Amino acid sequence: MKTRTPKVNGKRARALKVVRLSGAARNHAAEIPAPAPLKLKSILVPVDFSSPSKKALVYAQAFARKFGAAITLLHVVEPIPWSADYGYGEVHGVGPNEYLLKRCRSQLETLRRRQAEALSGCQTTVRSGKAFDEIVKAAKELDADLILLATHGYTGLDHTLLGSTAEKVVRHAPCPVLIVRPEERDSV
Amino acid sequence: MKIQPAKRSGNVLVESGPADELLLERSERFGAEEKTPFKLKNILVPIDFSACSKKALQYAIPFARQFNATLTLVHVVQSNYFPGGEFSGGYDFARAVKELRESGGQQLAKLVLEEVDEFVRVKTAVRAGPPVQEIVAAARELESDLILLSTHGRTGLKHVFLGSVAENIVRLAPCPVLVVREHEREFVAN
Repeated sequence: MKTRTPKVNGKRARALKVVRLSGAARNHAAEIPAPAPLKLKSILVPVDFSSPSKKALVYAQAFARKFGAAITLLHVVEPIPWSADYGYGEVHGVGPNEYLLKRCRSQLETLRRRQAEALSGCQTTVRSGKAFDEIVKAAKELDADLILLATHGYTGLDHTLLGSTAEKVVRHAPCPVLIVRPEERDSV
Repeated sequence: MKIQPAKRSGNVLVESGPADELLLERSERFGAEEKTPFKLKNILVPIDFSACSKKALQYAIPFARQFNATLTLVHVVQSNYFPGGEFSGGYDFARAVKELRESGGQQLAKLVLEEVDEFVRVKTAVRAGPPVQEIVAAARELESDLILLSTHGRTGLKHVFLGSVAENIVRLAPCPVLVVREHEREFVAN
């Protein structure tokens, strides 16, 4: 049976150059996987200016670069408990530590400016309250998709006495939590 | 690029222009550039076959595809310290653990067949012992770069307490830990 070259754009195809697909192109045509549906848009990174949180910043940079996510740096200042006696017994309360709040706001700003090229457009916020509680509240407010937290990795007596913010955040978080620690096998 | 059927059956005529050559070159380099910030090669996913572990697997598969990493699913048969000899009450714990290991391996294989597609490299492992120590030891041995963990495993106290397994792994892990939970704000499309 006589075959004719099919019509392309209404015209018969002329003699075309034959190009063999090179090895690389052949592999690419077969191996391109479907894009993975990871949509990370907003990451909350609590920092406490210690060396483990530097690790968290490194990871935050990598995530921001890879997924184009918006980073929010958060620092939590513990409030000051006060007690007073107004004549009908002692009353107790907690109040925000204004001095420390101001200092930490400026420290966080300098941190953000130093990280400016790596984390373009990251927000900073300083809250007052219990660390894990404020972190969880901030994650809910900002609709964070991920909390990137560094843990000191205390074990033994330190762990019993100091406890761990990371563990408490993991318990109550409204979204996935990535915990990194200072000495470990890195993924970044 | 114009592709046409040729006179001989089974062959094609391809006309490729300079723009196409450029595209092919760029696509070769594309994968190499992407890999530089992250070096995530091995992901460890502890599985206890609860609904929450399936959630961890749902996260693990897109991660593995995104970073071209190998997944290792590990199931730990809880065998802490059993009484032996005349205190065992006539129950052969060793054999029970062995049978649990075998059935765990089979269930893992079934899970892999059901959930994981062929674009992801998967390995499975079954270990016996105290769960936290076994998972941490597995992470060290396999040199995993990430542990993907789900909370609310088989604890019986849902919605109130985090499974102590997850909490302790967060403490003792040799690598970053990603903790997911069943009902939460997700960043993985279903």
